[in-house]
Amino acid sequence: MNLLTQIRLFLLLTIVFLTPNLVAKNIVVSSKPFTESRLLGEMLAQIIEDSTNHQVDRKIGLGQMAMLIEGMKAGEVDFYVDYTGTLAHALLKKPELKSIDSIKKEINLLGLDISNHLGFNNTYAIAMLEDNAAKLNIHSLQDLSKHPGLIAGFNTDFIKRNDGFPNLQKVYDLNFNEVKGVTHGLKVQALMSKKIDLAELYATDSKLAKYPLRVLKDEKNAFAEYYAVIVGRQDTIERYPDVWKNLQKIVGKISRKMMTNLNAQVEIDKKNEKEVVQQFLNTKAIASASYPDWFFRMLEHILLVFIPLLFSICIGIPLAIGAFYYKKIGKFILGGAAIVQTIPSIALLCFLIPLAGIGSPPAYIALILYGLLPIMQGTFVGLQSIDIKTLESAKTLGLSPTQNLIHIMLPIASRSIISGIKTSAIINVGTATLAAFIGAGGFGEFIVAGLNLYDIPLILSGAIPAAIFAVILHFGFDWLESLVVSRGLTRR
Amino acid sequence: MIEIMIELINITKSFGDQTVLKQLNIQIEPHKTTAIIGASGSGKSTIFRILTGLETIDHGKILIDGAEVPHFKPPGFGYVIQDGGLFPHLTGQENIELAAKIQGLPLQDREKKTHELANLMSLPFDLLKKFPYQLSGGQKQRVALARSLFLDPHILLLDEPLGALDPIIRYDLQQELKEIFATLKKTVLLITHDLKEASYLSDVIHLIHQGKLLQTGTLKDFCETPYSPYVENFTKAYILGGQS
Repeated sequence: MNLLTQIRLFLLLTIVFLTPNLVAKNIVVSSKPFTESRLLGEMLAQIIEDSTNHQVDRKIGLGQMAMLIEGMKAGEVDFYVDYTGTLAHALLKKPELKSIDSIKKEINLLGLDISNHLGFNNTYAIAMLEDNAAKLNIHSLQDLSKHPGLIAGFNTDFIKRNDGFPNLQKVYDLNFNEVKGVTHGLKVQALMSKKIDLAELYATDSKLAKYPLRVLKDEKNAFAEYYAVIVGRQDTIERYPDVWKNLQKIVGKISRKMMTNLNAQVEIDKKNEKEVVQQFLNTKAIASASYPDWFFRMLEHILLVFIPLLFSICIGIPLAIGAFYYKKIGKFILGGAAIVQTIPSIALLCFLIPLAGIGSPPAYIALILYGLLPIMQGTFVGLQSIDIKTLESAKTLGLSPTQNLIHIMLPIASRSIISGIKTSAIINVGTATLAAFIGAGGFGEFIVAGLNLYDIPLILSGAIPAAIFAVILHFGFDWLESLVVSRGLTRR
Repeated sequence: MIEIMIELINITKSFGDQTVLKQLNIQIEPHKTTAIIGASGSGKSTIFRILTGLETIDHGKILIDGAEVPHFKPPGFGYVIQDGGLFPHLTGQENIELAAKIQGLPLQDREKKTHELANLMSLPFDLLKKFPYQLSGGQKQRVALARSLFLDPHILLLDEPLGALDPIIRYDLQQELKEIFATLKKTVLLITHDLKEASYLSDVIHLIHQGKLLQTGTLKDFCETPYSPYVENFTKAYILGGQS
């Protein structure tokens, strides 16, 4: 070929190879028809949309595993969530495969890949009413063998499946007086009306979140493990590594309790699936343990404390000085600040939303307002408590009122002023945690997420750093006082 | 003809319905030490508060060198009160130099002047690095006096300067004050309730009672020719009553 042709060919090949990478292709995300699978599928879709340039084609609730796998092989589905047990038993037909690595190796041969598990095992959960179990002192499946007189209610297919009731009987040597066939939808009613003593549910069944049920321990691991994993086409993963990387965000981050709660929000509270997933991802629970996000939450909290504090100081001290000199208006000014203080923080944050939107602006405004009273009071009281003889000395020495204020009054009042600022700062640490409710970030994010998902460690991962921050501020201001306030006043 | 520097003419001052000064007329001679003496509540401190601008008069006039003024203006006067009125957040030296510092006097000049005044007041210089709470009563009053003298005022107003001190310290300070007044040759106005102290320190004594001037003179004049029974009793009480 001549040079011109070579150049043309080079350009053509470049365009051909570059274009698919430049033009982000639509990723297809699918799921099985039941709530949990739908929610997880929606989660994958939102993560891809939020974190990458790709658009997502949703085929939520498409069908069971067989259909989804065929879809993947045909290149029509890119990602969905399945379970280790199901993949080992039903897809690979190798029930002996338990570990994710072993399943991964086999599934790679099919041109697919799986992630590590998302954090929960959605296996069978044999449940009894809490007080019934407590009365009979039944904690585990083994304990059931001591109570042959119980009535069991199971799905008909659970009664028949090899890995269902027969398995249970064999492993724990159980025999029940009566085994009734009860459909999934009526199980809880039957338990509550004491028509049955125990039933099989799923570990993340939404009813476990709302009804007083006790799940019996499976000490001998009779039931197979069904850890949720993301299944993806290797081809898609190789072409768009950023997608796969972002999907890892939820790996290991969804506990059984969290998943149960999410299911309950949809099935019992009747909330919209998309919104439930959106709120879950927004509360940043997913990123809570990862270092960079914790670091940013800390920075946000520091800003939420100090920036409003600076404004409160710049507004509050002059106002208090004015209140001191103009005693009549002064009463109203101090009274006004006191009234603001009585407004519950969360209410004030909400009042500000129509005025300032959501996120940092209303949070900053609220924190500035809350910071005013302690600073104003500290300044006012500090000025008021100055001996009048001292003020008169200043006057008779020829100091102008301004000079008197700067050289005599404010320095003498400094201890009280700093005390007021310190109080404001420490109050801000606590109030700033509420700012997370309106999207302003900070340590409150973890507290809010933990409250939404009833995850106490998560709540503490926000509450404890906030408390430590407050303590640091306490000592920090004491140190500042020792620097700023004259030793003649503190008598050190 | 005696040069009259300060004149208070028909000064009347009331607080609420209490009239503290009633048509008070006093003439103060320059370069001398004048004592104003009287019982508590006689209005002595009010005179000073009016002269220093801390209170305003209801009626009357104040003349300095013949010119009417509302009150003395700093730095024309120095004012020392019973408890010193020192600024608690500043060291002794900082207290003394504050007014000058604000006016822009450079550090070296200030330190030089402070040294001079410290010598005059018999204050060891390193004592001036301490804060008021660390100083004794006598030391505080010396610092207050040094402060009042820093900007070289014409007039010195001392309101019961030794009132809060122990007898021995008081005695020592009286000696020192007498020397200082002699050295400085300023016009000194001194309020005291102690007739003996007034007699020791001053050239002329004005005796005030219920807001009016009863007599002007020396202790000898009060003893020998009291103008009223009150003067006579007052004098007797202080001389014979073993006060001070």
